[in-house]
Amino acid sequence: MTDPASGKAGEGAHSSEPSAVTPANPAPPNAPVEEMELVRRARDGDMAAYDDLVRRYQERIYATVYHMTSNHEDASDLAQESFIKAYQALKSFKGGSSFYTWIYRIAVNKTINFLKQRKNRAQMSLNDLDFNAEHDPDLVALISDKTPRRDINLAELQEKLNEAMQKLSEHHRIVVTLHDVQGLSHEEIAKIMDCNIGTVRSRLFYARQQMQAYLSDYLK
Amino acid sequence: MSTAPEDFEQLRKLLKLKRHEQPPPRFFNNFSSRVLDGIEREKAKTDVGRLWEEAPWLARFFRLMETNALAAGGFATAMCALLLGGVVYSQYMDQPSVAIAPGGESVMNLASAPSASLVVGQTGSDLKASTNAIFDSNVPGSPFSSLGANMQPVSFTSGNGQ
Repeated sequence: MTDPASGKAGEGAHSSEPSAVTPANPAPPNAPVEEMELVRRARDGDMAAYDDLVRRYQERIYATVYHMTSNHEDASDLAQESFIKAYQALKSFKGGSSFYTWIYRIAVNKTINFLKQRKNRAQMSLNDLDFNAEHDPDLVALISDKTPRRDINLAELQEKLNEAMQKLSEHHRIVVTLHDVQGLSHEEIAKIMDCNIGTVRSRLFYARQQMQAYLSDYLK
Repeated sequence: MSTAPEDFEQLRKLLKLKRHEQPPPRFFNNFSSRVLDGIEREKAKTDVGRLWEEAPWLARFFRLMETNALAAGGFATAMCALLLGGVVYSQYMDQPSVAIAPGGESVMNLASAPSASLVVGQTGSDLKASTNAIFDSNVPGSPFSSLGANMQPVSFTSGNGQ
């Protein structure tokens, strides 16, 4: 993967599958123009402009890192560090891609490096499920009496799911996170990960197979 | 190998659970200010790093202070001595320095006296100021008078106007 600070990737766009953890601050249609203006001002030392950029993407970046690490404290630190690194590298951001794609790439690379170092001391610190989880029809169906594991509750299911995620390699986990959890398209993921779409598709397929096997008891 | 999405429909439904995992309430309220604080901290670190680069001797000096207790103690002692010396010296400078001339009379130091030399009498009541030379033989207590020498004004004239 190339240096995220080079800003090599192309224009990012939001997927038609929005993630429930990220839609709080969706980018408006004229975002790229306004965003580039904010980037220009931030590059000139305007901290208020950078504050605006951080507020735009903080939830999406945090969510991506969190789903990769399954640890709130690590996600909080890594998300902050990603924004700090992005500010320091802002002078090298040429605008060839959107700031959105660029900051995503920084966060993903930073997280992958972190996970490689952390490998042997992975410890989950999961966030609480929000109130809506109990009313999500798909989830209700999963823990209904049709499920073989009748005694399971959402918290257990959450833990099992995160364990399955942690069993994937970093590159497979990021594809599942960005596509199935965050709702990004294959094209966007390819730009963020600096690989071709075919690689994204095959990684996604393999990752899903692995997870399906691990969670077979809960998916019947 | 089939990559049909329906194969993983159940899994995708289960993965929706991840979307409901939320950070603690108000976590994002001050997230950006924490980022900006971090940026300021990094800037400060960079400034210190630049100082070390520009003055490597300073870095070596601080490293020596950190690693060598003897050097640190010596430096601290020297600094204390310098401070004490400064205090003593400043107190000494605050007092008017008065030199005692032979015969019990005191003559103020020229450095602290006004532009004209001031001769102070023994009793303090007979002060007289003069712009003449200090070592006037007519002044009581002058080293010249004690030797019995008498000083006279001398004028030199050249014979041929040379």
